[in-house]
Amino acid sequence: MWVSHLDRMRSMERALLRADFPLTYSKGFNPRPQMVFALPSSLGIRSESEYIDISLSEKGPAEHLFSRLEVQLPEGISLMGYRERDPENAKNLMGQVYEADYVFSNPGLSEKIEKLLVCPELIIEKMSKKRLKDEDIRPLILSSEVLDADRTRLRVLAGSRANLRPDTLLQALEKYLAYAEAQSVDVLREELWIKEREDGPLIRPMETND
Amino acid sequence: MNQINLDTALLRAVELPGRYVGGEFNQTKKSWQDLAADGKRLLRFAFCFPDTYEIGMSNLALRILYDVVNREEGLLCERVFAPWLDMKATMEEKDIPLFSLENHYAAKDFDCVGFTLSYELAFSPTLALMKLAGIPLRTSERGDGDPIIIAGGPATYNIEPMADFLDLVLIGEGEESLPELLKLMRQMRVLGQAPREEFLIEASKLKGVYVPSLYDISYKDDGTIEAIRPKHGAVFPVKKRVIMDLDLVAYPIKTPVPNIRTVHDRAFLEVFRGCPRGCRFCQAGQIYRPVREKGANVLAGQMEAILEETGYDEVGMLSLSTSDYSQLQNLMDRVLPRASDRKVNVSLPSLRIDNFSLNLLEEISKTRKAGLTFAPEAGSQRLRDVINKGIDEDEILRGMGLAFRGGYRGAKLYFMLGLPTETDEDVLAISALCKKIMDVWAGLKAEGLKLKRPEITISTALFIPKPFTPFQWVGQSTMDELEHKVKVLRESLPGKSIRYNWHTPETSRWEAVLARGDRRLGRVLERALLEHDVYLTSWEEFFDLSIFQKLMDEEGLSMAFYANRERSIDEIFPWDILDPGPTKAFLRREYDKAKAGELTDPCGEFCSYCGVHSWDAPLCVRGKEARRAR
Repeated sequence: MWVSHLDRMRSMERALLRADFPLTYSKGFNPRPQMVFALPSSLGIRSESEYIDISLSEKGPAEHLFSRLEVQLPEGISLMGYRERDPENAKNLMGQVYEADYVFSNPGLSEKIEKLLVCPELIIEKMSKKRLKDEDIRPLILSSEVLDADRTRLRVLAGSRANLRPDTLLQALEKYLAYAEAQSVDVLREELWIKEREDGPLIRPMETND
Repeated sequence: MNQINLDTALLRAVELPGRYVGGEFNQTKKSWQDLAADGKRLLRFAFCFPDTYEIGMSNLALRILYDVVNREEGLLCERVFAPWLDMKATMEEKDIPLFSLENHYAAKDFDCVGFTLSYELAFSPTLALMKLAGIPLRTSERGDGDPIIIAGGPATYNIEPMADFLDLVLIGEGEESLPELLKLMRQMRVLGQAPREEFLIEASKLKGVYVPSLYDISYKDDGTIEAIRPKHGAVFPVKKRVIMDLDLVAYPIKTPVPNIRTVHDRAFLEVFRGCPRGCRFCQAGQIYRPVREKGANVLAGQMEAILEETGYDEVGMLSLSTSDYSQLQNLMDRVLPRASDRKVNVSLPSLRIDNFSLNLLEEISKTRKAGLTFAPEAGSQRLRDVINKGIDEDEILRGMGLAFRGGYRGAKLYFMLGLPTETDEDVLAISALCKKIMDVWAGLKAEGLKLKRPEITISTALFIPKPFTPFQWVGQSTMDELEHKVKVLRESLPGKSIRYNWHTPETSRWEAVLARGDRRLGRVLERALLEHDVYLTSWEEFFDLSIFQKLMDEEGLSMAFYANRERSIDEIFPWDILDPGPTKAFLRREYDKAKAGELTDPCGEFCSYCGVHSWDAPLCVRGKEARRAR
């Protein structure tokens, strides 16, 4: 939870090496294991939906790999499941992500988020190509579901086309509602939603047909 | 005893929160509730590195000692690092004391806090961390509820400026002495209730343990030391601890694998300790004597195991001079095939320009062409002879020619400015050498070789006279002189193919003051912390010499007395309390030879009877035989 995406990738690479996975490597002067995270998650949030595509050089019993990797992970990371994909047909998971569910929780938070979503626009300053840029994050939020007084689930746009970073929502709580506890809000990425074709249905990454 | 809770908002607000949370793969996390076989709790030791996580986790001593202490059933070791400025400010504001990574306990709740002191600029951060921990700074102010404060590392070979703050110092290699000490501490302070003083007196009987409060120092009117008087039967001098057979001592295999990027983010293999060369400016080359190599088969086995347990994709072969390792080719033959299977890079950071093999470099850099780094240290032959570098210009030019032919664009070259007897002519010889290197490149180009545009980077460090070296008597150049030398070099360097990095002289001057300092400097360090909040002196950007200058003046002390004064032959040094092996007579012989520009042979080729030769390490034996034969 407290490491950046790049650091998490490196941690994962090392775990795969310890588990002795038959990895494939990128070409070039500095070969890296071929491994893709479906959606980088930002520092300071929890997640139950990290999906990684790992390309292997040989076919073998996946459950062995799974149990070998389980014991090689650093504190705070555990494996939820796996699926074998056909390297011939599998599309890059990263390009298929469309939406994500985040659960925001803090005492009395749901009421705040409800108020926030009433705003027609939520302009947040965002670093883009080393320049600060104003961005309206309101259109990135698709729907909300109040779980109880403290917890609200948001369905947001995610992936390479349009993406809501959950920390920008915390910034919006600070900016629009002067919410002093915004940085104490617990954020959980609960699920990612992908489409296999642009006009296809939203499915979970583990439900693909390849 | 409470575990420190680092809340989400706090961690989101600081840069690199991964520095503070621990949880790395392979960390050892023992519970504070655990009991040893004797039914009593474990002794709690905090290994404190007085710099940031990224630097501390790159330190081999930390990896070794963390492993060694945690192997013991009755001991637990947790890591503590210096928080970055943002985190430190938050901790002070919210009254969060300095804490450990594994279980997040306050440092002051440990039985013992140990600092590793890599060099003198770690002194101020050490005091600042004690303050942040809420531990009284002075030994005399600490009571039975406070931890025992200990230190070790190269900077403890003259630890006198810190003498009033440290209860006990481990001199030499810690693999055996640290667990011994901690076991004694458990016996006396966990199983028994021995008061601090009683424990310290008992501990001072262990070999390699120096308890500063057991020695009284008196000074002459001219400020030099009159006498050193041991009390309570304390040994004098205190001999360093040394591991004679490195193949037999435990080496860390399952080391914590950082979750965030560190400075040296790789596996380490320690190829040998000590250095056969005896460069006269180099403290490590003296205090780590004698040379003790590890076997190539042992190293190959350890590399395999470390890679398996850590998943690192790079391994560094560490020593003071790796191309001097007698079994280097054999080692590489064993490890390279496996490394290449695993796509693991092997790095050899300390190569000499006169004996590296290009074949070897080619073998290790098949995938990645890392830069070459060499250290001629001085530009003129005369000055290289003064410091006993033992390489000549032809060797440098030949080495660079090999590098160019091998497809390297150039190299990083390290020099020192302010070496004893150095003149402007010697400084100008550095740029002359660079020009000759460019001529070598031009010559090869003229032969029709396809060469890339050359890139030479030169870096200059400023010479700091250190204890237990042949130059321990020498005065450092003044700041004006050092600035002048940098200017002379900068203005004389040719063209744009040469890049020049240099340091400002301020940190080097303060390091020089502390390196040969005495106990009177303790007051200056203490006031710098309490009145000016001086913290990371090891970071040039935060270093302010004027604070120390002002405090020295107010305390009636002079920087020039410590840094720039040439010592007389019979002066008693603050570090005479310790004995790392090489005798004062040997060091004096070396100083005289330096002034005459005479070379001294490397250990294995001709023994110089430095004082360590009687310990009969294999290389010493060979050197003594060679001497008898000559």
